[in-house]
Amino acid sequence: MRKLFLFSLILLFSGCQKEKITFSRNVSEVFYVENAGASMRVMVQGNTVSNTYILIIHGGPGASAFFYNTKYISQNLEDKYAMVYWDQRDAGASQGSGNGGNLNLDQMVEDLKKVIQVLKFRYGKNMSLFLLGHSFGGLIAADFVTSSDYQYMIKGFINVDGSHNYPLNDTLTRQMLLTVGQYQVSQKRHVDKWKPIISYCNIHTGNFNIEESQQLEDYASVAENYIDSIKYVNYFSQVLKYAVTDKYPLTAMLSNLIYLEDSNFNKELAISQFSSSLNKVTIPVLVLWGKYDFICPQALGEDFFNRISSTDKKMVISPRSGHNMILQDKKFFCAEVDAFVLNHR
Amino acid sequence: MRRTKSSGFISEFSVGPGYSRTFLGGTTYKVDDNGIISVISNAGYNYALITVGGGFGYDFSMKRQLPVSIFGKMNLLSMFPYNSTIYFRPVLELGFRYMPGRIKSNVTKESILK
Repeated sequence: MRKLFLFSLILLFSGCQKEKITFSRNVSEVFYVENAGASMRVMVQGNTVSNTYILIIHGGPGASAFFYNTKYISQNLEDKYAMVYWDQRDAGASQGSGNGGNLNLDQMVEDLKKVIQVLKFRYGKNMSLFLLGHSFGGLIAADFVTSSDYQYMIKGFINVDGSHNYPLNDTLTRQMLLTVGQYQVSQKRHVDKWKPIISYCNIHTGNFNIEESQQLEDYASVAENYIDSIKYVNYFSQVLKYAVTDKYPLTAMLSNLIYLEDSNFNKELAISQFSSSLNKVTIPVLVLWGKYDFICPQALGEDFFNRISSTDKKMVISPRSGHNMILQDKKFFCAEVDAFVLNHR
Repeated sequence: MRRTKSSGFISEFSVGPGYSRTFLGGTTYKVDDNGIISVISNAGYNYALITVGGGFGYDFSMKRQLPVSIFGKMNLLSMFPYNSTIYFRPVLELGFRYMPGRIKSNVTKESILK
């Protein structure tokens, strides 16, 4: 009886893992890619009949692709294309066992390559695939498109407030906090909030260590809330809004996020830059940036845009956004992505 | 450790080790260095568990001669190594226990006392 019960359990769980590959206008399916001690969750949603896929490389490190799967994107992009929500290693709903030693940029680029290979295996090697990197995801993407001939695995790259150069990022964040902060104070807006930020930036002028870099990022995160024209994003409300319907593995996401915030991985990131190799990029590129993004300032996007060798490239600024255009200027975001993908698939 | 008062009120606290085997909720692929893709069957992970929990309930057999008790219990499972960290997983248990032997033993005691 016990053997029968165990056998039934195995059969039941095996059923959950049956390969399911669907071509329709309204797909929602999940698979995993195992690599170097991590099983990374990949969710494909939308229109797989289109043969056009947009793979999101989420921010963080340690955030999750769940946050990008918004209702607006479902209604305005998933009807036309298949959106691919990939949870990087040690992030979101990805699982693994004692894989901390494999947490580095080179590994993440290899992970991305394998995710793309599996996507093509499942949905066809002739698919039109676009990468969309946001924030930290921009760093992985910059590493990927400047590595070997990896950029030719995709049709185009969409850089949304992505960082390709962390040391330069810190310098530009400091400059923007100072410039905008001093202007806001002159206009008597949120003076008590800006003063400590300005004071910190005046004291810490460059060659930032990891603690200073983190402090700058913390100030950058709150600074956009002091710009009255920018839509305030309450991330806690966002999570509550979607957590139940989209079945967020909340405690797993939190465990991963907390770990990555403190991990040694951040020391590698603090000195990572790809400005010097961006001239290798020749594929079509769209750069989307929020005007009031303090975390990854507009000048960082301009550095990226000016250095790539792509002849087919476009940079567009949203005047209404900070660091999270996907939430703060969703209509602009979807319209620009749609136009780019339609033109290059 | 479970305590049942003569009123029927139950309180309990538990700590214990365990083992968890997860099964991933989707097809799992592996890509080798030559780009050959294979499917891993029964993909998942083994975790050590430590569980701490506590709760309350009511035993109907104490006052109402019903061999049933109800309970609510909150457990915190810690699974490790989960990625590079520990995964804390809260679990809420709500349930009832049917104890056919409980009433029989109570009746026997009462008979003896009389």
